[in-house]
Amino acid sequence: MNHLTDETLNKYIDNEMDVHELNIVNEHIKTCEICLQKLKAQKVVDTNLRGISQFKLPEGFTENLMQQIAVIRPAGIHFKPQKSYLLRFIFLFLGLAILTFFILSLYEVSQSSSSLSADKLFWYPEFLKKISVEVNSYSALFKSQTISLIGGIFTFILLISAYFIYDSHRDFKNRLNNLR
Amino acid sequence: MKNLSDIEIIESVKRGNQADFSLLVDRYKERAYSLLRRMLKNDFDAQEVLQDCFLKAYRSLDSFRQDAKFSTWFYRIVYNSALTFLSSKRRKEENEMTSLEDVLELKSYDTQIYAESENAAQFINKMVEKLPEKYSAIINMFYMDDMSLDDISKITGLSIVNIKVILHRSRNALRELILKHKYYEELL
Ligand SMILES: [Zn+2]
Repeated sequence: MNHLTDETLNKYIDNEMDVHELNIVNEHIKTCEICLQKLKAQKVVDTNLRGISQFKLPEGFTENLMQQIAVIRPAGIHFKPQKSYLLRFIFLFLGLAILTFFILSLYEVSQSSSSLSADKLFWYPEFLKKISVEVNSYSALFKSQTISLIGGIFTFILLISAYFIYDSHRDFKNRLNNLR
Repeated sequence: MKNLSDIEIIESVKRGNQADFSLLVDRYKERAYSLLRRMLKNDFDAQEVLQDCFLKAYRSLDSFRQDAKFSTWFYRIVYNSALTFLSSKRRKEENEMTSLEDVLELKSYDTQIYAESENAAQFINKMVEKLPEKYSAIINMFYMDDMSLDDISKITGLSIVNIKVILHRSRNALRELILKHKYYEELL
C-alpha cells in the first residue's frame, strides 16, 4: 500500500477522518516505520503548536495608552450638528441687533421732551448722528406704553441668552467629567 | 467590573465612561501583542503598532456593529495594521528585501534554532517566529487563540481553503524538521 500523504497526515491530526480511513492509516503504520515516524512527528508539531507561548508586554502599557486616550474626544459623543452653532450665532446676532435698537430708542425717549437737533450731538461720530436723526423720526413709537413692550422683548432676550450660557456650561462640564 | 461582557464595556465607554476602555485593553492586549509580535518579529514595532490599534479601535468604536464579536473586529484592525506596517517598511528597505513574503523557508534558521533549543517545545516556539507573517498569524490565531477557521477567515479576508493550505504547509515544514532532529522520540 502507498505511504501516507501530507494530506492524510493533516486530516489525521485534524480529526477529519472517518472510521474506515482511520483503519487504513492504523493498519499501514503497523508495518511501515517511515510513516509511523511521520505521524509521530506530525503529532509533536501539533501538540507543541498548541503550547506556543504568549508574549508579555512591558509594565505600564495600559496606563500609557489610557493617558493618550484621555485627550481624545470621547467615543460616541458626536459634535452637535453644525446648525446648532449656526442657530446660536443667529440668536446672538438678533439679540445684539435688538439690544442696540433698544438702547438707541431709550436715548431718543429720554431726549423727546427737549427738542432734538443734530447740533446737540456734535460729540457723536458722523454715522451715529445719521442713525440718531433717523431714529428720531420714529421716536413717537417709544412713548410710555411702548417701553413696557421693549422691556418685555429685552427680558425675553436675556432669558434666551441665559439658557444658552447654561447649556454651553453643562456641555463643558460633561466634557470635563469625561476627561477623568 | 471584571465580568462585564465586551459589549457591556463598549456601551459603558460610549455613555462617557472613558476609563472603562482600559478593561478591554487589559482583556486583549497580550493576545493582540502576541499576534503582532509573531507577524512583525520585533518587540518595539509590535508595541508601537499595538498602541495604534487600540487608539484606532477607540476612535472608531462607533462603527463597531454589535452583531459582530469585538475580538474579531479588533483582530481585523490588528492584522491589517500589521500588514500595512510591513508593506510600508518594506518599501523603505526595497533594495534589501526581496519578496520573501510567501516563501516558506525555514531551513536557513534550522541550525541556529536547533542549537538554542532544549526540546521540541522551544524549537517549535522559535520556529513559528520565522514563518512568513501570514503563516505565523494564522498559526497564532488557530493554536494560541483557539479561533475557528471561520473567524480567521473574517479577520484575514482569506478563504477557508487558503487558510487550511497555509496551516498544512506550516505543519508539514515543521514536521520535516522534527523528523530530522528526531524530536518525535519525545512522544511515547
Ligand atoms: Zn508508509
